[in-house]
Amino acid sequence: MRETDILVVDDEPHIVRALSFIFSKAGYDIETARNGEEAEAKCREIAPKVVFLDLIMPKMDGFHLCRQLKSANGSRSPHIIILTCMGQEIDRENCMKAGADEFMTKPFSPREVLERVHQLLASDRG
Amino acid sequence: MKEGILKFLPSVWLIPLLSICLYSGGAGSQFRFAFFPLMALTSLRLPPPAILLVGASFSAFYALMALMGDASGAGDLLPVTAELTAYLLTSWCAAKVASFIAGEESRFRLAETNFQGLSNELSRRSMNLQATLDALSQAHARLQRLDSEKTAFLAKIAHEIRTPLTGIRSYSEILLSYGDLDRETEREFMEVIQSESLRLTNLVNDLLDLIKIETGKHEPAIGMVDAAELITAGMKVMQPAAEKRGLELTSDIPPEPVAVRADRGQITQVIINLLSNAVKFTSRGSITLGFRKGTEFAEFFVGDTGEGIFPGEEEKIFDEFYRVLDNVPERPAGSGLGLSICKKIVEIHGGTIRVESRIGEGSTFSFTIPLFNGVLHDRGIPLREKSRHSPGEVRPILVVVRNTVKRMCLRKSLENVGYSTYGAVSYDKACDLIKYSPIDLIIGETADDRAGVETLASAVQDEGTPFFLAHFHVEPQEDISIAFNGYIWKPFERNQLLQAMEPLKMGRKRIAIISKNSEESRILQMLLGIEGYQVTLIGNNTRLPISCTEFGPNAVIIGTYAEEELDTIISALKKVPQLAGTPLLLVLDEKPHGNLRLVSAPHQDDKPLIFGLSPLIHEIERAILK
Repeated sequence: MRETDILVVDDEPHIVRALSFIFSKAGYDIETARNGEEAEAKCREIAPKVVFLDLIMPKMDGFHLCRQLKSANGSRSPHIIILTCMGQEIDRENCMKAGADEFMTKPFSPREVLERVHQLLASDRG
Repeated sequence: MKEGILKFLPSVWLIPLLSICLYSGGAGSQFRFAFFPLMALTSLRLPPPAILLVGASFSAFYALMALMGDASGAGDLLPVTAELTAYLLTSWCAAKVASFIAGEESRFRLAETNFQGLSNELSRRSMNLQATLDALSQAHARLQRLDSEKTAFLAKIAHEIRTPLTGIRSYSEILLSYGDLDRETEREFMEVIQSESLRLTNLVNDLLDLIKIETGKHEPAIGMVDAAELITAGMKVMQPAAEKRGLELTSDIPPEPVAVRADRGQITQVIINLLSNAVKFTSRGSITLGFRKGTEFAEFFVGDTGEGIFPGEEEKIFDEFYRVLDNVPERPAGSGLGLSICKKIVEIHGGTIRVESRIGEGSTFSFTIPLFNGVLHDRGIPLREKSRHSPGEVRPILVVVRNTVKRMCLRKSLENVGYSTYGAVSYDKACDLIKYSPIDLIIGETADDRAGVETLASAVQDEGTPFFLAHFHVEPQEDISIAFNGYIWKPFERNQLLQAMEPLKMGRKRIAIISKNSEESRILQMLLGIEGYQVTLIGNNTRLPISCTEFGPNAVIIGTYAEEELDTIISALKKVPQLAGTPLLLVLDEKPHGNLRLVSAPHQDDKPLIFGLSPLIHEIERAILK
């Protein structure tokens, strides 16, 4: 199985493009998916280390996918960073319950997103 | 009290006198008992002191008799007299007690009746209270529901605003922090920022529209409109977009005029929204804008050969921010508010909106609005070149309209056919103006300021000055083109500006901006500067003609000014011979839509509605000549 650093899942092409751009510039391997179903299939195929996940998406939403990825892969499951427009406290709680590692809201700062990924991947190595 | 004593005094003295007479008359002891009933009768209604007095008189009389030697009769009579006195006293007391009891009883009855009344009243009030309580708890529940709906709506808005904001923020940060981008990528990212800010602008505009409709602050200017005009207006706007996507857009215009009750601008917006959705969601085939006339309602429908809507989504698509997600390959950009705005507008008009759809075959959106029961003016009344009045014959028309451009449009239109006009920005100002200037007719905007309208109406009532109230929509190019060659509106956009500059294509690139608003002039300077125009800012002062002559602009943009200032600027510019033929562009606060179509209702209800400029002038002539 091919190992990839990051999978970006969002139905807004602009956001996928922006994240792809900054991660490739930083030298990461990156894959993208436009909805939950596509993302689930890709995860089986490429085993990403970090998954950036939007919450509201067609086919399968972010909560569902998050829960699925965490329960299917156990301790080897990818880090999941929720990146959403839903900024309420209850959304954050729900995401954490669903097993997410990080919760970030849009609009995001590319620099901060990049730092978070650096930290997560560094903690894996360490 | 004294009166009472005087009343019974005679009867008290009557008794001893009678007894003396009877005794001395020799009637003897057999008569002694005969006057007891008499005495009793006399004394019955007397108060106790009188009875005691009577008893005492008898006793004293008989005691005297006994002393004088006739002890036989007195010895018999004395106890009887005492007994009778006691009896009378007792019965007096009994009567007193009985009457007291009767009095108390009737008071009790009265109290009882009162109590019954009170108790009825109480139960009635308690029922009322219960009803009020029910109504209150219902209202409370409704408010709670509305409140949670509002909260949910706000959360949705925040969500919808964040999406374009995300694009703008992340791409601008990328552009700022990566210095090594190639020109193509740089351009791509800037275009995202532009398109996302446009999306944000549209969202904000749609939201404002929705709020305006919801709060009812901008009541629709419902008047009589020819259905064909609404259809034509919608087609005119959407035809280019349909052609661009290779779609055939056809319409079905009723051959005879059909009068509907509509706010022209709002219903045109509904038609445009529906057509624009149809264009967005149809990749091949055709779109039809159709019309059916019913008995009470007119039905407009927009049919497409697009993707269709899944069953179960038909109702939801009219909800705010609901978007059909799964069956569209590329999600079209939109605020997600278009259909809910349409629904609100149609409902305010007293109509309904619905959709019928089949997956893979297409959808048909249709809405109804009420027919207008009245006579519609002919479609094409030719506008007369000049009024038949010679100058000076007719005194001015006063135009009371808050919005400067609208007011100017109306004034210029009227001046164009030979009337002179005055303008007033508010009803207060109008009231001041009529004190000093003779006015023949007033055309006022139907405004929130009802009190102002009333004051002005009563101020001119004595003179019999006709007073029209009007709603109207403006598309300035037709009617103030006398003064201006084009318009640009806020927020400024590159494409819109370039379109306005179209006539200057031939390499003539000097533009003068006359503006007192530094923000407006800075943005214009920047936008036009990027496009390679040479821009200079000229102040509205005495040097204006000189500055203009020195700079020699190929076009002049005039910023937002009050009408009076605009007039002085235009007349100053007209005095510069070098500027003859130079296009003048006016900055508007918002995008104009609709024509200068006067949808006007005269003040009295029984008169026909006026519709369009020429019928208005017809109405004015009639009113003035009368």
